[in-house]
Amino acid sequence: MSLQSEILDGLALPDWNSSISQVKNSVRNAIRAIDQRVVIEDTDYFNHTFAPDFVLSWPGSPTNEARPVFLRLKDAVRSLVEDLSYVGGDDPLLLGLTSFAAESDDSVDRQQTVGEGARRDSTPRGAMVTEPDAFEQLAPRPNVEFGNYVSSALLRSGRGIVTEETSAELGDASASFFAAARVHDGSDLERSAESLREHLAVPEAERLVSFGRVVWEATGGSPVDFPVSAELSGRTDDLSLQFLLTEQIDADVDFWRAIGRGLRLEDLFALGAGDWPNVRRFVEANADRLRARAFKLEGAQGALSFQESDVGWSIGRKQLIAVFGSATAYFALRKGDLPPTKDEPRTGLTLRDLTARTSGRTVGSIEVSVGDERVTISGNEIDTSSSPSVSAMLASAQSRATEVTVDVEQKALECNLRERTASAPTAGLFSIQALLAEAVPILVGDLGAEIASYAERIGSPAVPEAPPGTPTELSELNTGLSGDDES
Amino acid sequence: MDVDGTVACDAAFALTQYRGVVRYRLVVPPLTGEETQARGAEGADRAKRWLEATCRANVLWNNPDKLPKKLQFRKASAAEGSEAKGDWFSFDLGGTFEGGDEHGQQFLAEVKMYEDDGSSLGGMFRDFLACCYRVEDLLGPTHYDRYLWITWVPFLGSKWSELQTETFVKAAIDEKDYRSATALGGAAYDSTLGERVAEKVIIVILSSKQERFLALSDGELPEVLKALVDIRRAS
Repeated sequence: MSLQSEILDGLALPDWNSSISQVKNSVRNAIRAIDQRVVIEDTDYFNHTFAPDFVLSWPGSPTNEARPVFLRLKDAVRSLVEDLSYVGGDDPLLLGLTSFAAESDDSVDRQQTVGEGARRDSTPRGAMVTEPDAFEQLAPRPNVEFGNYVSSALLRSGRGIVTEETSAELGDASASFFAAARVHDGSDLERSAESLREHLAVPEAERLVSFGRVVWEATGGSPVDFPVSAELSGRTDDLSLQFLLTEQIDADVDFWRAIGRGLRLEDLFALGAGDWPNVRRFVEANADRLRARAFKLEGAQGALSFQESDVGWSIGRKQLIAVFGSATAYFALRKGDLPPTKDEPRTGLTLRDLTARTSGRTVGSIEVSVGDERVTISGNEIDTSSSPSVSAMLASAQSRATEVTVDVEQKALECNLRERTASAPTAGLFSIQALLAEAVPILVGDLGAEIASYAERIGSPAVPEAPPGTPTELSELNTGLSGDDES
Repeated sequence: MDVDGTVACDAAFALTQYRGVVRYRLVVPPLTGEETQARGAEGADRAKRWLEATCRANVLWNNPDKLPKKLQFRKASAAEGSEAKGDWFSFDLGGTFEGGDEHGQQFLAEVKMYEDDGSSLGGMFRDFLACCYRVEDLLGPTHYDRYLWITWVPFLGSKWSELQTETFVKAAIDEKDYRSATALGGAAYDSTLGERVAEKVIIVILSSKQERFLALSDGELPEVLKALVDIRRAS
């Protein structure tokens, strides 16, 4: 049943409350069909001159926009547009509840003039005036790639008088815009962009064009051939990224790598926490570029085994989160942003086990504890003959390595073997890929083999090896170790 | 000149000659149906806006042509189930009161916007009373709490103190057969209903200056309404 039919059925109900409830429910459903992410606040007003019926908002949107929606029992476009002067400058959306009345011929010019007036509202985005059949058509068409993007944009900042004909034109333009971006058809893209720009507020139109350019380049188009100029940079902006991470998109690794160009972990955090469908594809394609300063692994107990198809990536409040079966990895920009430890505290590794885990790596320093005593051994002190007290400490059966600093991506990575965390002691950042491939085996040994193996398969090829001549490897340490404790 | 009688010109000035004296008389052509309808819509719009600007009324319903069964009622003389247009009458606006003891009470309103002349309003007001009587008879005493008569022109000044009395309601219905058909349809007049109508009627005389100078500004109103929602919820 069409929106108009539902509304008319609702209006026909004799009981006032039931009538209003049904009409508003129908409109609410239509709004939801246009943009599933919108939050719809019902104000409990209906057809009020000054108070909106609904207020729409988009949590997590970087612009924190909210759009009031006014329902109107009017069909004269002129009268609807005149109502704009009473509802204030918040870029409202006026939805007539019945089809626009046919205007007499001699009022056509006035209608066009009034339409221009609606588009030239004093607010940056402008108001939209529409009616049920047109409004319903703003919903994304099935099988149109990125159709949700334009529908959402029109709901957020569409402007002008949108008739059924206009709505159909916008749907056509939406489909052809992204199709043209994919196949790099400049003239078709330019024509579609012009049509869409006419009914979108300037910032939204710019964002749309920028997104189109991202798609253009991500699919192999040359940036210099993109036909439409845009104020925003070629980097994917927050709203576009939000869209890309949530929508059904048929795209390969190269597309996601192109999208990820220039994006950082903080850009993901800015979107807000969420289990977004495409996060995994995005992260895996950009695992060598997304960089974190702190890492934590929890829950890796016993034989850790997982199906790669079940690996889950999500965005936490201030962490990027990966789930590998019973183990969870956290990536953050500060050590303080890692979640509190839930696992049982560990005692550290025997030096023999540490040797095994760091074999082939460049070790900068080790912190060793025996009871309450702690000593940090730098690379220069690893030769035990120069320090008898240190040698004795290292030889003790109770000695445990609690921290080790290794070279990863030519920077020092400090691994805490008790907390199973790794972080940069200075301002350094490490790729997601390197943290999984290098830190996990150190923190959990063989338990992390599958995770490390997974890391090798994502992002771009392996991190370059450390240059020669750096501090000696732990295997040179001769301590007469005992015991099989491991953290 | 030899003009004899009145000649209507395009400019709406009539040229007459009477006993050799030429006079010009302004002839105002009557409003077309479309113009009347447009004026009616404008009046309903302005009344709705003013009522809601008081922050004491939510005018939920306007445009009765688009609202079957909402602001429209069958005349008493109409056959049961008749859908013929002539068997129905409608009010212009319907809504509820906000705040105070009247919170949630429902009202119907008739709006007459005749800027020039109130001479026909007396008859229209009497028609309105007949319609209110019919609604009271049809739906009982608790369905609608108030009937608002809204106009921009004073009327029936010499009878002002009588307009909201049962006597006036009865006289209005009895005066014309069509009003009697609307209200009674052949049934006897019930003074209890007439008293209810008289008590429930509110007469509102607006003026353009009142709308302009004595209402909150459009910018203030949304904020005031928001605050009132909280105040009324708390009470």
